[in-house]
Amino acid sequence: MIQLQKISRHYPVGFGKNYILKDIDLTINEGEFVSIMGPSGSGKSTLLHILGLLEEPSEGQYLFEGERVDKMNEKKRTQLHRGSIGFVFQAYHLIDELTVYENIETPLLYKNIPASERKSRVADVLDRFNMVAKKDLFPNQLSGGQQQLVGIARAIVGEPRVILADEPTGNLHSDQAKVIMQLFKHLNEQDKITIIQVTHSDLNATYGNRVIQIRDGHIHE
Amino acid sequence: MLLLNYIKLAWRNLGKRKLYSFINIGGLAAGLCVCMLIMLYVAHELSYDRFHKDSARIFSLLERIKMENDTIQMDRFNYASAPAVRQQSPGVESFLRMGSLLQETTVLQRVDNPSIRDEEAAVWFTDANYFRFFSFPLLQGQPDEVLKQPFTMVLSVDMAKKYFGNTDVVGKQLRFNGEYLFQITGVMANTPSNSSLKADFLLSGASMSSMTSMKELVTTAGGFAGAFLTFLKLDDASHQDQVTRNIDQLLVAQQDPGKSVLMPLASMHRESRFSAGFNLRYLSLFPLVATLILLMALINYMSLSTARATVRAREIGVRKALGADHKHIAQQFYVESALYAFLAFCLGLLLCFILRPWFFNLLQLKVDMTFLYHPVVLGIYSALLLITILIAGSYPSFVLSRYNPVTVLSGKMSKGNGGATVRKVLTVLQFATAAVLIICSIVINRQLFFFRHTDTGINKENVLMLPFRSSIAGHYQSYRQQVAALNGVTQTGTGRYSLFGDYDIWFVPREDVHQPMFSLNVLSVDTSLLGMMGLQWKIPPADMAQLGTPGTIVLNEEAVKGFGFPGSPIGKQFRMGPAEAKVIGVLKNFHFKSLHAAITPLALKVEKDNSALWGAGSPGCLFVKIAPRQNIPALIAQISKIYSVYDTQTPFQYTFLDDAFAKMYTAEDRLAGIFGGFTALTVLISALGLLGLAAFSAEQRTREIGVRKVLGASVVQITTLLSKEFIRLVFMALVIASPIAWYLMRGWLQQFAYRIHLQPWMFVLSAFIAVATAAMAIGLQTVRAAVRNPVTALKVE
Repeated sequence: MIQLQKISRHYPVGFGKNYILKDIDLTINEGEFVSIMGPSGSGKSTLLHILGLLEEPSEGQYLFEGERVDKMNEKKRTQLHRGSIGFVFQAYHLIDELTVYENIETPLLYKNIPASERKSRVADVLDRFNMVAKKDLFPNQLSGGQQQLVGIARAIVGEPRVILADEPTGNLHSDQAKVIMQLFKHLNEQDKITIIQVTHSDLNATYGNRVIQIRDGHIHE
Repeated sequence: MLLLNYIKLAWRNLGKRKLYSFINIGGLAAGLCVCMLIMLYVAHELSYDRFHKDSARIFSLLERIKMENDTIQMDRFNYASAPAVRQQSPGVESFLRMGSLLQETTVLQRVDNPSIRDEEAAVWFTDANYFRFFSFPLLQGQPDEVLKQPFTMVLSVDMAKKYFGNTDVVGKQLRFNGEYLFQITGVMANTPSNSSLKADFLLSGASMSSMTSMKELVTTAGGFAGAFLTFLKLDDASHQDQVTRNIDQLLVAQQDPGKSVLMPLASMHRESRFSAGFNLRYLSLFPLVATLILLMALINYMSLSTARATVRAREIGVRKALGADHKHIAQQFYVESALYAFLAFCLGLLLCFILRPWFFNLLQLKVDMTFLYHPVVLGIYSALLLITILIAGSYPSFVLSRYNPVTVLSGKMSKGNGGATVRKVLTVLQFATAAVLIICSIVINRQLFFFRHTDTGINKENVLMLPFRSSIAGHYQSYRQQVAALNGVTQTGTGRYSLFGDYDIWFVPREDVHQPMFSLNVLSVDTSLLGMMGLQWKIPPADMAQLGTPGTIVLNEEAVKGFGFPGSPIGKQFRMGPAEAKVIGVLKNFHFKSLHAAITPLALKVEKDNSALWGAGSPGCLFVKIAPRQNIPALIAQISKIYSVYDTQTPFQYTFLDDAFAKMYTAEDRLAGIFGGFTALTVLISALGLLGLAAFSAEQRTREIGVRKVLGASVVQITTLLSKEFIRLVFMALVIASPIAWYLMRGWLQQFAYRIHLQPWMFVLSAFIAVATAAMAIGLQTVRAAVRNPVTALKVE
């Protein structure tokens, strides 16, 4: 599903270059639950951004379902965001001025999905996450764990093929974290969604079925 | 659906950030309000006299006569001129004449209740086709009938209410100057405020031949000039030149040296003396200032929106990650801006409605309420709304839609982003504008102060001027004696005219007869008035008893220069009209006119009793010097009572000499008032903008401030750190503003013969005001940020 070939990411320093990622070769198959681990500054977030098309690689090729996406124009990239990729962030990144319902609905708005279908899909997700009662609350009225649940609900409402999660439990208590990780595992096993998470926690990595260690911009699997 | 989402979001943001919303929308609304008021005014000016159905075909007849180096323009013609013109020129479809008493005032009085009477200015004798010729609406009466018969009149709604308390007045009568009875045959609408012809009363032209005071006007034959404003309606406007040529032939036939001019009715307001009220000279300034203020408000709005949006950068990043492309983001912010701009517009419109009476009062202008719904005004306002929305939305949405999601999501966004440079430039421009206006305001006010407080050489304190009309007839001396006997009156004097008003002009030969004659202004005063004025002698008369001897005259220094007498002017003689005048003394120059113009040559004709000299039926002015600390209203009431015994016709009027002096500077006074208002608004808008920017800068730098405090920075140090940046911008603005203001004000001051000099302190003061305002705007925000507990600051994610 995802193929990275000799992907590098660097930025100029003086007359030279500072590599964050160097010659990454990586293949991720459909249905995998991958954990990217490594110390701070090792380049794992950058890797996730590249995978999520938020950042462009400096060198190398990126094939998403066999299609070159590394030099894609904005329009096509946006299509991919809408159709195939869902994001979950460490700081949740919910939109403060929107209610739970509206936050979850937002990706569907950008996909031009008709109102009736939007309604049913958001309702489904709310139901599934047991949040129907909270649908009219604003993010600051929720606990961190609940906010992250909304974040995940928002990520899956567009029925993506891949979810990219950047330390999804980094701001949560351990029991909240457990709920979130079980949810990911469930989504992976039942809904067959490919999940790629960046994490510091060995415990979290155990929920997945593959661990990629990254150190100084290189992969050590 | 997305649109709804955007609107909802915009609405919630509005409520969430109250200070920001207030600054942003309030600032724009204030700017728009001023812009609307000025546009309303400008549109009103341009709409003058265009409401007549045949406006394009109606012309005002003028005649220009070239003198040596001067052109005299006349607008009043003989009663017979218009019919003659019509006969001569087939292109003239119809004509209309309007005559008024030139020298005398008109007093109208109710017949059944003589105490209801007043002096009226807008009274015209006119032809019977008035309501066919123009498009003034007649509310009661038949347009073709109302002014047909002698001694019939039409009055306006306001006048009907003033004299009778209601408009049901057809058939009633009013007495004209205590003599003639006019029957009311119709009621017309009040003259629209955008008409150059103002009429409260129309009297039938057919009456004139039966009135002793008017008969002469209609029967005088020969000559072209006369007493009547004359309007011609052509069958087609293109025949203007043909008709002009025809009239010129008439003029040649009458051996009149003038050339005729047909002035389109629509341009009459701009070109003629009808345009009273606000000094036209300053009008061109207004649209410029309006544009500046609107621009500032818009700049403020945009710079605040972009600054504010850096706070929302995260949201933009999230949206991009969720599948929004930059068009979506642009749309979102556009909708938001447009919504706020629309709110600002509505608020501005509301303010405009509320402030309209006050604003036009300040300008002493009359603009009808109904004019607000004039199509042109509605058009302008719609355009204003459109421009506002277009501009207000464009820049923020452009800047914001270009944010890179990764940088904003991972918090790498530096404070240099979000158009900060542009914002700084805009802030500098804004403050520069404000500073220019502050300096201008200071200069205008100083000049006004100078006008009012310069020593004119005349003792203006506690002097009442009481003009009297010929209607007081032979009773003047007894009237004066009774007033002089009142307790609190120290002195009385008589002048031909009130001071700072009229004077006579004579053309007199110079000492060197080969030089052209020059114009000498002449004031006729009696000896006691001369004493009251407190003038300084340059060369006093050898014997003060000489003053008041017939055939003697007193000159000012300018007049002595004008004559060019060799040696001492005393004893010199010159011819003034029919009589010889002998110079017996020279006064130091004093200002008998406004300080706008240089002092001109002046002669004082001093008499012992001048009122007798002008004849019993002549108007004049009684000057009354009052002792200090008197109950002035009571005194005036006493004088009024004495007056009403001798003159039952003309209402009592009075002016204080110092008021009359101050009145000459009304134009500057209003300019100062308006400029003050504009300046305050501009400063306010700039301050609001800066306040907003400072608030967001502080918000953005919360973490930095926290870290610095943990490292030991004091509140003062933090405040200084945050303020420095803005104060620097204000100083840059001052550097830009000073030369511009200097240039503008130097030009403005040039027009006055007596003026102040631009001084460094004016610039320093305005700099102080600008910096102080800025400091106040920034201060609150920065101090609040600085005193905040660093722990809470650092907790912010």
